[in-house]
Amino acid sequence: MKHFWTRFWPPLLLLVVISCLFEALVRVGVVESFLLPAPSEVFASLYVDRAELMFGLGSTAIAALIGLGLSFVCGVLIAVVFSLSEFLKKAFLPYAVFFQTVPIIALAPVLVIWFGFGQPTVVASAFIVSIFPVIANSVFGLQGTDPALLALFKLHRASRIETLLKLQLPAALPAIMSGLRIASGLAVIGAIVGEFIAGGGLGEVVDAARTQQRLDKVFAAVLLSSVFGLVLVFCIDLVSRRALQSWYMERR
Amino acid sequence: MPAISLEQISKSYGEGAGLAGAGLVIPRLDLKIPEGQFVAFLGPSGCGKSTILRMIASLEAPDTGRVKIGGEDGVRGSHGENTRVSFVFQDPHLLPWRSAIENVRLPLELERTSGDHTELSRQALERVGLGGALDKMPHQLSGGMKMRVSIARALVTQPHILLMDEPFSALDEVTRFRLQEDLRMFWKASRMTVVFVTHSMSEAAFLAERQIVLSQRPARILVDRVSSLGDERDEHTRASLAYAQEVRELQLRFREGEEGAS
Repeated sequence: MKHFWTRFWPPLLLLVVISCLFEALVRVGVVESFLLPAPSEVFASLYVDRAELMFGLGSTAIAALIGLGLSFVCGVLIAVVFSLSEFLKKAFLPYAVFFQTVPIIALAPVLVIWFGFGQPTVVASAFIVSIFPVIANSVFGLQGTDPALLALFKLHRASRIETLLKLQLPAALPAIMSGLRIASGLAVIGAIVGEFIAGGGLGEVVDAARTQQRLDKVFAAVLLSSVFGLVLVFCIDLVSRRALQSWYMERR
Repeated sequence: MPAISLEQISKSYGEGAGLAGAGLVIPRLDLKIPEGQFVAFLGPSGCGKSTILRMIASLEAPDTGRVKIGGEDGVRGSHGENTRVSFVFQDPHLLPWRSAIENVRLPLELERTSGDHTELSRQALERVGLGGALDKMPHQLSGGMKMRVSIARALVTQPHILLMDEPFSALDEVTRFRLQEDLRMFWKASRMTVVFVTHSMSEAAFLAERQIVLSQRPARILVDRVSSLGDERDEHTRASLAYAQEVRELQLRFREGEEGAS
């Protein structure tokens, strides 16, 4: 517990100081409340609009998690295919890199045309932005297999599949998990961007509150989505630390 | 029939491979190693000792010539069905997510060896003195213990041919001496063919029945001699006059070979 406090009190203190500062600025009238809501107003909105916000958070969370799950499964599978076929890797990897640079905002209206208004578009949006780090990290992890161990597997006549399952995938696990960690934050962003266009979730709450000039509600929704992203990253860290516990120490 | 025979093998690497000797590592090497012999390859680092070892293991194919294992072509992973080959690297290279016994099991799993894999692995670990560390994870073991696990992993298949690439060079001297003595014991008990690459003359003198000294690349055989030490070698051997003379002889022949070459 002591460790927890020595680590967390500086940022918490900063949060309190900045909140008080903004509160004071708004109260005194230096900044107009419709430009920047006072922290107290944001917290008030979190309570007053809790039903709407929680419903939105639930919808966003489900879409982001489904998108992330799809990214994880598809990303690792694609990386495995790349590691099995040098030709496919060479053919596809440049496009995967190109694909990553496509701005999702520009693509979101097209997704609506393909998937309609609602959850499928949001999931697709979360999936598209989060798959690339999974592919890139998995490819990197699968490529980085110790050549001596590959030689050992070859010497003992291991099949391609055995080498993949017993050597390459486990060895790539740390890289895959760090890809998933990056992807988790992106999946939340992708979901909210999808919701701006396709509706539903916190994205729609933000969009609607903006048109109603309810900046307090906008900030409340943004705060919730950040907290959700943080919780997601934290959970993934926890899982990967558990999974890699037995051999983590050698890697450090 | 020799266990290993290299017939006119050559190998080049890198820029201009094959062009007028550029990048040439091994030029037309001929060598026969009889079954059950303990051979040490000596030479300066980078001379191609490891490449020869990798070609014997069929991990690399020679540009020209043939590598025969047990009378059959050993090229491209197809050893004669009944010839089991094991390899020990300079570093232990254990799978960090597997315990000691699971690491030793690996070759049995991959080769689908018949018999009780767990029992065979346990026996192999006991033989290298790690009977009490079966379920330890690699990060819980010392460098010497990891190398012992690595040796157990190589011995568990009861190989006909054991290839070792400077396996003890990263260990402290006490551990190295003990492992050298143990290796002699394993060899005497099984009479497998051992090809041991090292750059230490004292190590080669202690371990091997036959010592082959290679030149700087392109690697030619400078010295090919039979040890004058007897079969019985243990910790006392290192203090004996015969051993000192053996090391000295090896050094002299090495120097002669170098001068003759230049």
